[in-house]
Amino acid sequence: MAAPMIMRLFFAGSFLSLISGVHVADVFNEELLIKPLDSGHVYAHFQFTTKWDIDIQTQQNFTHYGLFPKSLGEVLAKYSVHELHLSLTQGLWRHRIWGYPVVSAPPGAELWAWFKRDTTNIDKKWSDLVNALSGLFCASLNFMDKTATVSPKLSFRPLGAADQWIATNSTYLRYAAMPGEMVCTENLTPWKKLLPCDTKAGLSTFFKSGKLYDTSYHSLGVYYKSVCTDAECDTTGVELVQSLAVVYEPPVRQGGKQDWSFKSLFGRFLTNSCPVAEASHILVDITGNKTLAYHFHLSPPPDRVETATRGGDKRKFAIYDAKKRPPSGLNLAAKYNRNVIYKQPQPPQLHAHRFITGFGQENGGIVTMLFNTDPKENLTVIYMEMVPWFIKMYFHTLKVEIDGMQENPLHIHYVQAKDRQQPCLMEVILKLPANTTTKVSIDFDRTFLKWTEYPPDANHGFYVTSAVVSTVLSHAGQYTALPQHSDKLISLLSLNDDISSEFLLRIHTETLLVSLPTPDFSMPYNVICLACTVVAIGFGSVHNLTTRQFIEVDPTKNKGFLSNIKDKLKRKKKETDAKVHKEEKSDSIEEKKS
Amino acid sequence: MVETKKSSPRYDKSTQVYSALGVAFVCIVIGVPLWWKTTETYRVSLPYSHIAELAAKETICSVDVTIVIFDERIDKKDLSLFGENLKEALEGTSGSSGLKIKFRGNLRDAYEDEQMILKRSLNLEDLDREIDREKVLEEHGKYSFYIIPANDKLFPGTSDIYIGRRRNVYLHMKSPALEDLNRLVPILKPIIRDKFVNVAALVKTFESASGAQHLETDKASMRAVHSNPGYDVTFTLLNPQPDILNVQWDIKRGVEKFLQPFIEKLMQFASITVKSQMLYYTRLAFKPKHDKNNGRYFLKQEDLPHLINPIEAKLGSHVSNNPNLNFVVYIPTRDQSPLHIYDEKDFPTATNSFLSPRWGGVLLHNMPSPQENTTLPAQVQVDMKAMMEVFLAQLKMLLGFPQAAFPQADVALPDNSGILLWELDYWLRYRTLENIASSTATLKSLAQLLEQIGNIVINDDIGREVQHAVEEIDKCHTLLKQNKLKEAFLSSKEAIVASEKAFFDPSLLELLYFPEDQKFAIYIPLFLPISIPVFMSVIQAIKYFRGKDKEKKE
Repeated sequence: MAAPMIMRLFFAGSFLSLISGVHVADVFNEELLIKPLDSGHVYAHFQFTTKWDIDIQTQQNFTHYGLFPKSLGEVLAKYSVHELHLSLTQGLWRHRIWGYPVVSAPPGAELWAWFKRDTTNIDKKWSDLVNALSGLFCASLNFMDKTATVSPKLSFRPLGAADQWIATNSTYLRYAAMPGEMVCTENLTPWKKLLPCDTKAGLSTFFKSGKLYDTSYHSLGVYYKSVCTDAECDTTGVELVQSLAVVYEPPVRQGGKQDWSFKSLFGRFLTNSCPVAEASHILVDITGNKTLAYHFHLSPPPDRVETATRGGDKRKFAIYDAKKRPPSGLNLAAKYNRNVIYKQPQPPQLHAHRFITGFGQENGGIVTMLFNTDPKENLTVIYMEMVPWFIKMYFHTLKVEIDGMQENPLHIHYVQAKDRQQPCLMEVILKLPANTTTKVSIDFDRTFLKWTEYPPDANHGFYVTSAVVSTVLSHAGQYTALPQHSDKLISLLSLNDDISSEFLLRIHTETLLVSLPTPDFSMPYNVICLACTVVAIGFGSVHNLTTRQFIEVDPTKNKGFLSNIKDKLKRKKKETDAKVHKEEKSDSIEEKKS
Repeated sequence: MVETKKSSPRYDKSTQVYSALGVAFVCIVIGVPLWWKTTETYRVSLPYSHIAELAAKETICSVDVTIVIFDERIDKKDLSLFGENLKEALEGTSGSSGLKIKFRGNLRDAYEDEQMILKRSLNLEDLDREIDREKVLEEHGKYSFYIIPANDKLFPGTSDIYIGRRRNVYLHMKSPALEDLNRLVPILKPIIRDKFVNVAALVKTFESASGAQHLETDKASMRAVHSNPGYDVTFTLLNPQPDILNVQWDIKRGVEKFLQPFIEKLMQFASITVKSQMLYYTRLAFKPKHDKNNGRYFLKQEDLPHLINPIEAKLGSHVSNNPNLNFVVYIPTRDQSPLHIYDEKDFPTATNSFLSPRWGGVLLHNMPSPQENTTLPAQVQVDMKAMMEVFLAQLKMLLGFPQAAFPQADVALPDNSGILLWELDYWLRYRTLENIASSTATLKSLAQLLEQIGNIVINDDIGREVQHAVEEIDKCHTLLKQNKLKEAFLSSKEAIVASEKAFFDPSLLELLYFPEDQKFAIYIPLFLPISIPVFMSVIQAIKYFRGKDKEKKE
């Protein structure tokens, strides 16, 4: 059926990892891709690649560090990590208007890691790993415990060099996400420290948090994997990719023109390159420019302009070599010829939209709309949903509708949630016919948690992480992800012979915020008081019944001080009563007698 | 209407009283203990009295000293007199309140084969090697002193004392007369007491580790990191200008060649993990001064503490619980080159390096500035031998190996591990005492804490760790008394690990923040309405009995 087919497609990509055979122990590259988006936003993607020629399997190799950061390397070696993908993101990538990013990341933190073969006690290793990373990146990754971690079977495959065993055995994979994680400078600072040049030289001098965080989207990434070092993949090395992606608001302040420059984006010029970097390139995607100065012209003019064809999609890049810059500094700028005219951007082939339905605090539903905008081509996608245990999913309510017609999914992998132990995982393989909208919906119940399980801001609600949609595209419109065999941006240029027509695409949808019924938090004390009062009343009456005897009291007899006063009061009251209601006098006397 | 029984009011009253007392009895005998039992915190019983005993106990540490006499002409009477003298000299004021060092002497004639070796040997190195080969057992903490009769071949004149590679000392005695023999006493005493055993340092370490007093500890013990089952050693190359100098180092070979023998020798006592890294663009936050006379830049000794903090932030490691010892090679920048460390008298120090107590060492490694016409960055190599010599010496100091100098004696050169066996013995003794002192102190304060705060849960794990630590400390005391250093060290290591684990167990903190008064605030809505009627009816009952008594008397 289609399920094994799409899995095979994914492996094909995984084993292709190879790189030209230059033999140095470790190599560092820094690159920047700037892409003016159709919507007028400016997308800047920094990428720092450290490659180290050591065998990942041997623990002793992680002893003497050069360009590879020791603090991270120690963590990876200690917890037998084979592959690690960590992203820390603020803001949502809007696929519909921005196209596809180089690396897709959900809002908040996302971490998925493959462990080495023969790793024992993976759950313990994972919990130690997230704690170590949490300390390393100052993020609350330590909350990725077993109640927030899953091992997806279909959606994730190792992206680096891996043996057959690992690709088919998802027990070595752990995936977790923290959609509520706030990402800010305290995460950027430790991330910067992993770079060999820190922020002292090269492209990393642009990382001034004031400018970087004043943007629509900001994503930090750390990706670690094993890669082949020769064509036959006999020897392998490890590779660390650190990426930082930002999307700037449309720069329209200059009289309606979209001009941008290094100075306006990053607040400074580029004065040097990192001396330990092998290469230092800046790429500008100028595909939108028919000629070099049609919409805008770049100043200074690029070192070279290259065109790359990828799966039928032609892209044009202007390339600058930062190593050859004069010491006066480079202020790369785009100057537009005319004022901007906003138009509806062309949506990419696949995009998604996800939201919550229903009202009240009892139940609700999750609906995901998957759009295949291509007029001819059908798409097979894997849709993955991870929902915390306290949102109880009803699997039988899973419904797939294609343009209003109900359809059956091709394959479903469903792991039921267990209370306080594991989240619900649902992976569905769907076929999206050309030019259709597919609606995936499922209902859920909201649970009432134990009062200690609520966070301090209980009424804020609970986040549900992004759904992950993975697919293989056959043509690369708006596709910017890197080819599988190389992790350098510059390799985007050498894709003229890339006729593979298989482009692994992963997109993340919106996160959801679900409000659960919240109790009155003074409740436990009230309950204790109420219960105790009930017990006390019961006890009191039983006590009275067992220890007292009810006998008639002689009203004429003087019993004590208190009853004397009581009698006096009663008499007085009755006298006044008698004065007011004379007609009732006889009745009261009768009462007294009885 | 309630029917009255006027015939026997007395009888009725007594039933009422007895039932009230019955309810009160049930409440007190069953209710209170039940409540107490169900709301009690779980506490494993700990050997509190044993811990207190251990803390008060005197630690006795034995040292065996064997004197071997080669000269048969010496009078037996003289010998025993000499033995008495030596023993008296050694005992002196050895030890303190909690620690007692006991010297056990043994005086014997040389065996026949030892005599043979003496005759055969051409020099002292030979003699030392051969005698050690004869000894079947290698025993920690047992020192031998060989008194060698007049012999110009072995002692050509410069010095009369030779300290061997292991635990042997060779002394030259020119004549068998008593006064010559007695002259040895003041020579032997400082070697044994102050160098091999170093009683003063042991006492100080012991006392500060047991937390009895906050003493001004001596420099050596301030320098050394605390005892731990393992240590991480990190070598860092700081290259502040990678655009000018491309500095390379063959650290892998350097470690294998110079550090590995040292690590292997200590393997059974402490695991040492070595790692290295290179950092760029990390420079000194401190501006060195310029010496106009010779164009050098220099740092004064008082400037050195300011150098470490800015570097420290970049060195960090997250995975290990062991203390990290950092050894940093700093390549001075071109505009501050050559850079030297000046001593008090403004002379450059020989090694151009400094040591930071309990942290590590820094070596300033000056590189020749690249020529005008070379392409930058220029390739340079760090000299591993020079670097490792400095760092190995610093590592020894940081781990707490003795810094003994023998002014009057010749000392054998250590083998490639860099450790002499008597140094290792000293280190073992010193670490053992530190371990048991601090682990006893930890147990004592844990016991104190747990006794003071009744709210803390003590689970089985903690109980087990405490029990284990106590057993190991007991074992260590016995072994120290028998001078079995290696075994004593190993069990003291176990003890400190177990006691620290118990002390820092996170479960101890769990219920600590639920104070007693709040607990009662929650129970009051239950207790008050129940206890008042019970209490009142008990008073009634007491009153009734009193009335009855009076009636009887009347």
